[in-house]
Amino acid sequence: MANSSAEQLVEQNNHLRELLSKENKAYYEDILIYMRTLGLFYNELETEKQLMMILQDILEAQKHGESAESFFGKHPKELVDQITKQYDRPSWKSIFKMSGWLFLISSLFVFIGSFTAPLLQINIFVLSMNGVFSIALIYGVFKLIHVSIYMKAKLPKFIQFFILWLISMLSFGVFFLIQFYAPKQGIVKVGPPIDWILIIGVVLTAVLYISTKKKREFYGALAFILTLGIFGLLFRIPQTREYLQNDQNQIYMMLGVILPFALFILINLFTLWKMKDDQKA
Amino acid sequence: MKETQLLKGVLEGCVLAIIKRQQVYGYELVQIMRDYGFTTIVGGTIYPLLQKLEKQGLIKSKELTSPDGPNRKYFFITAYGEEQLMNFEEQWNSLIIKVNRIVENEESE
Repeated sequence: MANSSAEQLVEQNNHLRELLSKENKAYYEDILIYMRTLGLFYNELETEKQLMMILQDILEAQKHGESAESFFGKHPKELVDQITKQYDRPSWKSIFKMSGWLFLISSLFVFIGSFTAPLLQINIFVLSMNGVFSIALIYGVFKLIHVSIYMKAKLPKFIQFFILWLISMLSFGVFFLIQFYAPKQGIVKVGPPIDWILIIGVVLTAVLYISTKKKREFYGALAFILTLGIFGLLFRIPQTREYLQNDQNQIYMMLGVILPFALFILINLFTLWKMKDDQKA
Repeated sequence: MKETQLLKGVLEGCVLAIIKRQQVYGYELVQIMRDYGFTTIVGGTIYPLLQKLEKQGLIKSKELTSPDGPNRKYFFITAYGEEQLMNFEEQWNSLIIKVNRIVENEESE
């Protein structure tokens, strides 16, 4: 029998979970989030295998008229802690791999965001500080969710929302500060024809990668990269540049900045909504 | 004394003995234990135990097709597990003799 991958298990879990009753689902989803947010670097497959086993057992208990709580136990936090305590410590390899990915994605966003600037330039300091901060931020958010799941006193909704808002604003602030106060010595200017090659290269790689993966989670990012790439090129082709950068056509400059972000957010929201819908089906 | 506390060390031996007799999955194992009278056993105590036994190489798991839904994880005993089970049985047998001697002595006093 072929063993499933972590990705397949997540997919199956999403479908099977819908069979749980309302209370059982709430109980199980706390376990699920608690286990998945344990850390960024743990073996995903190990977690998903455990989660699937627990889900199948709770479903069977439900079929026999037993609630999730009475089957799994009254103190889920302590019980799950016993399970995760036995996980292998994350290997350095997995820590480097995951950090590397997050670093790459954050750098790519900074890099692509500068496509529409008149002169393509990259600040090495911005790139590396952004990367490090992104990793720290995601790690921190994971830990925060992990700790909050089984907190003794549940905070009121508006305080939860306020904390979330505060974290987002502070993070924006840090990214903003990095962008504007990073030492200018780190700037690397990329003139033609290298900027052309880089833009076309990044866009093509993104399109190829995402179209082979066929994952709709990436479609928002694809639109973002494509629009910025196209605008970046239009601002560089002499004939179109003159037209677009004409004073009366400020609107195109604005469009080049706003459209990619708007598409990114809209497509992601739509995908999220579609995915929720599919799960219920 | 709480039963669970007393049970901790013994539970591994019980789980091994059951798995030696038949391949089981999580829910099934909990039910078998309950049928034997361990009514306070919950899934949450069984999972870490299975995990520990598997990490130590006493049992191994395999995904088998199940009539309802995706594959289920079944547990089997290994040769090393059978060896350890024999050790457990020996220790257990000598332990109950000793414990009984003390407890019975106390009763007759």
